[in-house]
Amino acid sequence: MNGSKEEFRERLRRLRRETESAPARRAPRSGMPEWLRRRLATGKARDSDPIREGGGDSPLRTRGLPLNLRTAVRGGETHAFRLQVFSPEHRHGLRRLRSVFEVDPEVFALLSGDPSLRGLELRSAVFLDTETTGLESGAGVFVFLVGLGRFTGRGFELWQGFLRGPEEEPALLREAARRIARARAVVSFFGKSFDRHRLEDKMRIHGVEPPFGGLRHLDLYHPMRRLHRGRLGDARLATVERAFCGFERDSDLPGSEAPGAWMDFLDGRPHLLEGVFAHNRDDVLSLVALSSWLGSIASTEDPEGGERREPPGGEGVRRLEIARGYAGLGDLEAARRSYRGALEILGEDAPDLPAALLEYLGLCRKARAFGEAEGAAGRIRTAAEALLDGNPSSPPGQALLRGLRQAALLFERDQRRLEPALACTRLALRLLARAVGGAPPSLSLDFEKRLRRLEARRARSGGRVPEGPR
Amino acid sequence: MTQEGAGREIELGGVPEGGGVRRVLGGRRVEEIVRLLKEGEAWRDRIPHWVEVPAREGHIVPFPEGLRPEIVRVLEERGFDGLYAHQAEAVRLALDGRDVCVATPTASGKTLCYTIPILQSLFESGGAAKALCLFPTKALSQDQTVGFTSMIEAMGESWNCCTYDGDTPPAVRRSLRARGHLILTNPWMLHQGILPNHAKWSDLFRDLRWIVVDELHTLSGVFGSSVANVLRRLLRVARHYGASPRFLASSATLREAGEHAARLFGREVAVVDRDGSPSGKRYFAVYDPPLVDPGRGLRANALEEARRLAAAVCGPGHQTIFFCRRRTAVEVLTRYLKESAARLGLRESEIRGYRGGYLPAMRREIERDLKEGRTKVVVATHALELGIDIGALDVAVLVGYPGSQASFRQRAGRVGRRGEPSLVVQIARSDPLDQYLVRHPELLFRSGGERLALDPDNLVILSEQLKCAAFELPFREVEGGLPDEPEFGAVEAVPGILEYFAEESGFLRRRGGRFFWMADAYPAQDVTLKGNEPDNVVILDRESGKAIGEIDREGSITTVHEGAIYQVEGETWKIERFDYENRRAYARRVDSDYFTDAHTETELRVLRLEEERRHPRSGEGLKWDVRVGEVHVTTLATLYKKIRFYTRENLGAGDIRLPPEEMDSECFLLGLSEETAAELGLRGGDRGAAWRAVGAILRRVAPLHLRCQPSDLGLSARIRDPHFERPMLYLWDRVMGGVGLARLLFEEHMVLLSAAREVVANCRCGSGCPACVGPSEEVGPEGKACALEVLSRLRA
Repeated sequence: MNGSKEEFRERLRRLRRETESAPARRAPRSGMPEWLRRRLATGKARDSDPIREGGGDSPLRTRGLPLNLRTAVRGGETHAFRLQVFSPEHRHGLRRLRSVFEVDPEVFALLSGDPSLRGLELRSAVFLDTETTGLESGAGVFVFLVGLGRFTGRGFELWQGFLRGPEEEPALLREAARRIARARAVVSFFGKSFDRHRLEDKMRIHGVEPPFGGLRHLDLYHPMRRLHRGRLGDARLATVERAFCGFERDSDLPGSEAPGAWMDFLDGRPHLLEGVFAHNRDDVLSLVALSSWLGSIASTEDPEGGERREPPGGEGVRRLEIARGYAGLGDLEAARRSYRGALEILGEDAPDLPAALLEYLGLCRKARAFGEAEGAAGRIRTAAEALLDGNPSSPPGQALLRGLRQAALLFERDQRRLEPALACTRLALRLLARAVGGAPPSLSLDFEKRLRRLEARRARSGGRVPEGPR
Repeated sequence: MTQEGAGREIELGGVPEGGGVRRVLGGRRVEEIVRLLKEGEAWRDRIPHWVEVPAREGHIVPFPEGLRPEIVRVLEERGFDGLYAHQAEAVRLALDGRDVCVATPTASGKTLCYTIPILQSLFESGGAAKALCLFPTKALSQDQTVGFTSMIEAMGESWNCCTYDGDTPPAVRRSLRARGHLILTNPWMLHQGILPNHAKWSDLFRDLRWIVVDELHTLSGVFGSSVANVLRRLLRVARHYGASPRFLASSATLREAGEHAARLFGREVAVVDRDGSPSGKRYFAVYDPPLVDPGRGLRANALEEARRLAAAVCGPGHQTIFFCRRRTAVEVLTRYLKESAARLGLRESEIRGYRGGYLPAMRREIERDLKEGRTKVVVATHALELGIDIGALDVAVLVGYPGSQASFRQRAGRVGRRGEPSLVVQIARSDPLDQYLVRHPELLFRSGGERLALDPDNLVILSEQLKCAAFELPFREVEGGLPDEPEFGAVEAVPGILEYFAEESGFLRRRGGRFFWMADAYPAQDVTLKGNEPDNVVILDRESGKAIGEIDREGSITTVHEGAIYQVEGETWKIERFDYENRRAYARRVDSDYFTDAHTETELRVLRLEEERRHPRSGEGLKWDVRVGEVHVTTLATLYKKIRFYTRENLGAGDIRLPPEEMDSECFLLGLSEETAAELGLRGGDRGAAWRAVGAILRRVAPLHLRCQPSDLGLSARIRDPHFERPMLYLWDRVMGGVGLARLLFEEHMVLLSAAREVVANCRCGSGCPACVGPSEEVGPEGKACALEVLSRLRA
């Protein structure tokens, strides 16, 4: 290397074009190309000023290490953690922690469409939530806080394993793996897609056997999303816990700021760390509360009394999801029963009605319950006619069109009645004619072919369809 | 759109089975074609040079001792009664635990050199050993997957061999991570997909025994230097999981193959380069199209000549390959040949096109048909230059010189069956370089070949790659600097860069003697390897919505702009809409009697000048200066011409409305003062061409000092620069943001000028040749003398 260290750095700066020494470059330049913006933005690990001293007297801001942080030595390795115990009577929003034992565990299998969750015992489950330095996958992402909650004889015990520095990673992962492996099941929010993989990846790097292999995993994210289907604006944990458990976080540190808080801590500025611990604690408690809410929705009575929060679509949607759960698990009898219940409640203008009718009609045809099927087909036709009579600009949904196709199939194949089959087909084509560019061409093509076929058959048979097996 | 199509109706009827032409031409062999070309009136004057290389016996040796009987059995079943000497040597070295590079010509059986050691170790480890194989294209890795799988099946084993690339579905990715014994992928996937997520691949890394690097000669310049660093990362990740894999590499014949491999792998490599495969007699001809405009030295269009030549070199009894330089040329020639199939004694279906951008299934079909002899004629781009297995063919016609000796040899290597004669015809274009080769065909055969440049320690490439490496595993420092590891630890600049990242950029945190990655970004996403990244535009049939082809982004602006005629094996499609943002082009099948040819313009704008040095520093002499700065390079497709098939008549033009391809980079500028320009007589005309020659020679010698490839640098020479109003040369990094090549040029410019002067002064040509300033057709009769004068008189 030629010259001094500073000379080398200067050379590197110039070559990497990170000209921090030339402040003019940092000001936004008009018409600056995107790549340059990106390059400058990635020139530093973080754009924001890391020093956030002063301002506010929130209890979550501390000057030293988080309170009650303890260390333990296992196998010669040290890890840090905090332990808290909550009474089973502890209320998280509207729900007591212990209400999770008063719900029908069958419902988790039902709503997740996952038969392996049948008979899930939440008493022996671990409630898992982590904080990481990035939302991408990859070996360089750190899991710096692992929150694990479980019920013990003393109440709900929350263990928060904390990474005081990257060098303690193997110890923390080994301890977390040991604690997870003790449980019979895992409960998380989006953890099947995220937390579990971040932990597994890191464990493999450090030669720790990942504990998830034999464990059942209830991921609350998917059933929750199905229950509110976009009607809450987003599907984040903070949103659903507010809507269904009535839990409001005050002075919460947003999850997106957690990585910065941890990196500040590594640089000797631990003042935001308490907020990260509190955020993670609330996340884990919400897992319990949401499990309790989700578990209660199949029964007529909520163990929390009259305070159950209905999903945005109301009881109809709740029952519909249960019906779908039964169908997913293959219990078609129970599914049809639940669909009937849901359809009684869903109003004619409920957004979920066409899809519910389509699915129900399919089930009835499968069970050869043609009487029931005919009722559903009738309601589909009514919905289609109402749409035609109503606002001409509102396009028909896919579910309604596919419902009409099911209805046409019912009449043509199952019941051998050409006229109603023709009526359904014509209805669909009229709706499609109004859907400007909205409907897929394959669907139009399908109905056109069907119309030609039905008309040809009617012409051949003079309106009568010969009886016989199809 | 024209539907009538001039001249389309000629041969639609085809030739009946066993028709006269087919019978007559069916017996034609290479020797007869050679006689026809040498003696036939239509040809003999067009081919001033013939070179004949006598047949060579193969050198076959018994299978190496200790080779598993299962492997020997399968090889014997496939007709092997031993190995060529070079294969046996490579296998023996590999099994002795050496890193091996096989550098022998195309079709000399290089694949077996790495297949056998891998299979042997799979047997010896009871199926535990793993191999990671890198190929420069997706097509090659898919091709090799088929080959490996069939060997494994023939041995009755159930080891898994899988391709891992951008097309691999997520579900398959999961299973091949856990169960793949051989993973076939490319450098880009390794860089952005596998290494950053090495935990998911821990099963592979734990038992990684072999790293296969195929077509080593494609790894040079900025791309090769980046890949060298990706390999450093691969080795350190493997070491983390306790594996110490060996390299098995293959390369085209290369000058200093061992040195090149050693720089890429960072360790000594045993080179096997004595080709033991047999070859029949080989004929080489250089074909010079007739002059059509003697005044301007313009010769008949090479593609038209190829079409004429087809009558002599194609036939039902042998296989012929045409190599074209451009995709459009492949399509036009394919169409011509299909339309004259009957006269060639062929069915239309026996003539195929082949280029990058055809869909994988179609490519596989063509490759199979070539191998099994059903396809008699194929028209291809360099896509068939690499090691795709199509068997050996008989005649190769190169339409235009491919630009390098290595490429020429790869293409020529496509022909020559065991013990049979073969023929290679190089058609020269009007291009100065091609015309030079007509006069000096010995250049094609001169031994040695080009030397490949590589600089894994380029500071910008190295520091970007260090970010990726630190993300993957922390660096541990030892007392006083270098990290405690063999790969990056041996590089002097590394400690300085790590400290810089830790103390200035904040990407790394230094704790307890280790550097940890500590940022919420995923560095590999922002780090490019350069090279022809598979970043494709898909061409869709508007009617069915099905994909009919794909094209890289760079080529898309001239190929699938609105109004373009897109061709697939002679069928024509008109592009109706090009969704540039989403990389989709929508086409409709039409019957077009013309094709389209688009023009691009490159513009250079100086954004900022950073440093300047004026010469001479003291005393008397010509005044000149050098600078380094930042430039904005815009490439814009401006218009396209409609050209009628056959007649090449211009049917009109259209505008192309696409956003420009833009790039900011670093640039080295060399300028002469007005007085200097006047003194040297640099005013335009021939002397203007000589100014460009100065640029060309600098660009040619720069790689030796900068360890890049000439193609890594862009060149613009202006005899009267609009901004500076005097002669200026611009040489810029052709990588987004630059990798410091321009700055190195700036710092080393005196060395470079003297190297350039030496090359020109020592060249024995009269007035310029491709080895120095370029042929005189390009630089003018005074070009060489003038360039030499400029180079000699620029003093510090």
